Amino acid sequence: MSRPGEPVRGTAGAPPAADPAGAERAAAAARTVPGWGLRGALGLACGLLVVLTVVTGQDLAAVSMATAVLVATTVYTVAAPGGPAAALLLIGVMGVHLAFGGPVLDVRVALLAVLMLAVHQLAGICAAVPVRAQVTLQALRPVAIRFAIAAGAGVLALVLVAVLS
Amino acid sequence: MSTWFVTPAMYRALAVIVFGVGLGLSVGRPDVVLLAAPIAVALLAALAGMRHWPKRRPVSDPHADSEVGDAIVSGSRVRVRTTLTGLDDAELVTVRLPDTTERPTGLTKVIAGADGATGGSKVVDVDVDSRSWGTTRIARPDLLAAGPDGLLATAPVTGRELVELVLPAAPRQRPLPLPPIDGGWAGAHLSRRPGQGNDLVDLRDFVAGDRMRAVHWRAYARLGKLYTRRTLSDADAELTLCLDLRTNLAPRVPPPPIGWVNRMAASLQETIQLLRDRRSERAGGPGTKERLDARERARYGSLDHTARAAAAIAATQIGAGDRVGMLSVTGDRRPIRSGGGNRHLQRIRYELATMRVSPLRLTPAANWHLRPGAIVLLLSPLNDDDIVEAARAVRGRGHQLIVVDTLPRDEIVRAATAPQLDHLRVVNVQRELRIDHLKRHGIPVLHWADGHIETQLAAAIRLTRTRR
Repeated sequence: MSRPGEPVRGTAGAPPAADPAGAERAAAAARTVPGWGLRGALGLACGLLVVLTVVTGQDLAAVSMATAVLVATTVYTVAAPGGPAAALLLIGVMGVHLAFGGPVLDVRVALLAVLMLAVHQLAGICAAVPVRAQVTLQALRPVAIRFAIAAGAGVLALVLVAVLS
Repeated sequence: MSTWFVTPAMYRALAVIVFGVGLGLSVGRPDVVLLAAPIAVALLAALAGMRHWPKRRPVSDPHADSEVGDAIVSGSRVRVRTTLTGLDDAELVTVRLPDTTERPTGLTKVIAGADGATGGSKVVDVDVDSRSWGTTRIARPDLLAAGPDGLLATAPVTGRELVELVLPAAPRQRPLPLPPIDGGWAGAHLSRRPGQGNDLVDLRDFVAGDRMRAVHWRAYARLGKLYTRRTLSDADAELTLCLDLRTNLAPRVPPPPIGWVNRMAASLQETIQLLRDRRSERAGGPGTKERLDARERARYGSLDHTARAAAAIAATQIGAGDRVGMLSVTGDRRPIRSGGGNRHLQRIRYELATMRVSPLRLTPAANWHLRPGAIVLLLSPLNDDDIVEAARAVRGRGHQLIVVDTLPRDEIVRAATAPQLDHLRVVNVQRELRIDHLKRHGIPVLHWADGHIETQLAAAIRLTRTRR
């Protein structure tokens, strides 16, 4: 007979199942980043992209106009990453770069190329991830690998073109 | 079958590549072409990673099912296993998991899609604190799957609801100190019948045939003559729990926030509260679990108190060796005959977990089919005169009767709005009059919400003896 206060035998809830073999794997899968963190990263990438794009502008009026349009598009992109704003932002960045910058292959262009890729991939992920979700780092690994490959390939192509020209 | 569709991310990648390459080539600017190059490489890498692309679109059908391994008991922690299948083409899977203590508003988790080793399926385990009882929705694992870089996605897939019967908790307390019982045999209670037991009445002269173990050796040492102890027999009790299920009087629950501003404010408030809980836990104080338990307790209605009181009393008295039966005073449920043991307790708890508010009227006490000598525990919020008349009728039929008041009166008053308070004062006065009426007729009334009903009962019995 059990003492007062003890649970009744055979009626307790299921005890948490122990899984020592998968403990390490579970710990790795438990590391998460919040969904709003990805939105923050998207906003940061967009901001840097806008700054690097308009920094070469000479005409104050044109720079102000371009900045206003790109910042508005940035806000829209972060608020609704599944919408058309990200495409408008990336195309706008290329247009402004064409208008403001010269045909120089420098570090700024390499950074622009990498940031454009980051904005594209982050917007794609953010569109599929709710703000309040917890994203396991394991889930982001394939995206990170593709980012590294594509960014590396882009920078390599830029260096090759700069060297050959 | 879920439908995969191409997302704006795919069209965005194509538009940027076409625009960059076209614009760069047309104006002779290789830097503009190179801006779009990483996106083109990433697009090719993503398409190469899809199992069925570009031959055909993804064919897998992602869906999720949740299950629990064992019977769920209110107040315990249970592991909910969610199995996600059909993830062959998914890289990111967003799944809604049940509420946990760490995240009381529900957990939405994004996990990696299945790789070849897992055969297109994944398992997510979540520990859930079950606080309610009865038929409860434990989980509904809705999910949304996305392909590489979010270029493809499925429409949201509604998961199958996991509905389980949660048994009310049966915490054992100190057994009720029942008055001496007329019948019964070899139990934990006193009886009025002479026989073998522990309750000493007096001593009598030893006669031939008396058992030696009944000799009072201390009296022999003092007086030099053999005396035999006379004791009262021990007795077990038969209890019948009579449940008044006609109404469920519960504290007012504040309405959920309406509008996105109010929802955001509520969410912010909850986040701040979680941070406070963490700080409190670090300082050794109560944490989120304790706060949520207290909030749940403050929302208990009379039906909750009835279920929990009946389960606790049944567990305690069955554990003390008594036999316990149960019936509804409206007669809409089949009564459970008196019995003992863990199986019988399980039966009572199952019956409690399935009970609902009854729309029927009170059955006359004569039709309750109470067994002679049974001690009756009437669990009721005492919100009308009919139940008082029924209690008097039970008492009049010779049963020992104990009334357990299951109304959470303090919580109801605390949660009431100002216009409701006047009405509640009148209702409370009426209830107090009913309780006084019962007490005048020698019927002890115990308040379940106050806790320690065994102490309340002992005090009530003492009071009754004093009056005599």
